[in-house]
Amino acid sequence: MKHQSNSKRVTRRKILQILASAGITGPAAIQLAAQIRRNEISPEILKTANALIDQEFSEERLRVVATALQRNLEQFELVRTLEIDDSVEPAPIFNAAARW
Amino acid sequence: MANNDLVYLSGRELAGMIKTKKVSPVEVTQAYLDRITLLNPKLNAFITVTKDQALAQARQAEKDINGGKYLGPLHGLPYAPKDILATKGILTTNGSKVTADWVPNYESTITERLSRSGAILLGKLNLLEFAMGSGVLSGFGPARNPWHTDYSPSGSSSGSGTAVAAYMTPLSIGTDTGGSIRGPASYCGIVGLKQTYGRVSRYGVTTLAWTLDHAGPMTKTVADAATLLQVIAGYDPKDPTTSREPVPDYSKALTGSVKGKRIGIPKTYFFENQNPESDKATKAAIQKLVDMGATTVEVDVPHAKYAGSAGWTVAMAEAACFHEKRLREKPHLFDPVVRERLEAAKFYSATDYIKALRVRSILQQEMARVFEKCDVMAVSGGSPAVKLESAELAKSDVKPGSRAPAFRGGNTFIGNMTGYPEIVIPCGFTGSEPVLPLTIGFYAKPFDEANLFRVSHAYEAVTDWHKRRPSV
Repeated sequence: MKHQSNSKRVTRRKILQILASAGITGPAAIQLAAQIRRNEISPEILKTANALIDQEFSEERLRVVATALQRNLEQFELVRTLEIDDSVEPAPIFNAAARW
Repeated sequence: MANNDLVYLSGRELAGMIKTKKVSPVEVTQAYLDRITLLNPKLNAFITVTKDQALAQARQAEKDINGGKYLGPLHGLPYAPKDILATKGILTTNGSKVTADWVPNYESTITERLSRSGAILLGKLNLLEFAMGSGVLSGFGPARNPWHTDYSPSGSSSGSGTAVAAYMTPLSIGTDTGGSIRGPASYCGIVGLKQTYGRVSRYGVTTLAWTLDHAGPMTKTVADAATLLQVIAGYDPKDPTTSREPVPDYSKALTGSVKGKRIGIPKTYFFENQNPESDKATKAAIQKLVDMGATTVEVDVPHAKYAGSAGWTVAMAEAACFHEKRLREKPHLFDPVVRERLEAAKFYSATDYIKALRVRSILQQEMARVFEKCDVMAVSGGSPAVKLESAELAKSDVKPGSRAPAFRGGNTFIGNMTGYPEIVIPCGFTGSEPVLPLTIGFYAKPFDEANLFRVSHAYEAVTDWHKRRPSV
């Protein structure tokens, strides 16, 4: 197990493709793509994700959530950039039946 | 001894006096009720006081004991659980306006076992809403730290920490998903045990995160924690995560001897960036154990720094799932911070969650290797208590003009992520005003709570930190 020195970034082209498939094109898509590449979480980005997770957050709530997520981004990145060996499976829960 | 002074005795001492009929359960219960009446307006530790029921139970205990029907060391002894354990017919608020009027029609396994052992319910203790960690307010106002009422008792078992430290109850049950027993134990200077996952039933304990939740003892002394665990531990068909591993006689571990015990000292993470006074106190505690015959050995958990972040992802993702309906239907009743955290967690990705579970695998493997080399692993109990936040600041995790601090939850979260048990005990006080408690923690391998009790009881026996009283 070792850390990656650089996390893999999605290309601008790929982000634009994803946004286009969500119906977002033109200047709005370019602005959103720039935010995503800078790791900025905005209410606009969440609005797109909002549809994906089938939520109906108000503009005000999206602003609160965006700020909260932005704050936690470094913590997410810490784990996201950790390279884990393919042999490591997830442990969904402590296995009380295992012998120690 | 004046009845008011009964509260300063440990549970074990009181149990001895009750058994030999030197004091009656009614006298003991009344002494605690008087203490609660005196201090609760200032400390806000109790949400509900079950005075009439407590006195009725005490009278029954007195009658039974006088009639020769002694049930054991908890018979006639008062206790108070965090108000997240369901108590049949008694208000159970979860510290939240969302469930402020909930009166369960069933009993948690823990309170049911305590009741069967003759323990007397004094009431239900304050907590941070739905046990949602620090920084959150209770729907019933904050509990206050008895060592200085401007200071936080930490959370989420805030009322438990406060009530035990202020001698408002000799015994409490807290819950711990990322450190919510051990944090308040540390800030309030008491004993807090998060035992092995599966050792104690969580039936009737409101969920925060299924794979991380524990409910365990919070007490003044190690012996009292051992007595409490003895009663509440063991398989429960109502909780499929409980283990059939036999429950040993924990009292046999309370020998006062640590001769030959190997204390693991982690070479990275667990003592890094420690408050200087905590650092001095924990080093002195380890030296004391060495002087008593223990040895130290260097150990390492190389991925410990990931435990806090991965644990947070698991905790919040599971909590957002558990509270989905309540959050959709009554969002305005949630504490602003709880709402913010749960709503944000809706945007966590499945891959983030699964990756966190892979981190859990790594941590479990690394912890298993640690305990091939030692009996217990010492860790910092954390920094001294901090001031309670103003109401305005407490409305959000996002503080104006500040970056997110480095998340240092790994010391405790690693226990929830891996299921390994940890005990936190007092090991000193700060040297300047306000005088606040300092603590040290010990981990052991799964189902080896006996070694935690052995080491921490031996240390406690030659120190007096647990006997000091807050001036509240």
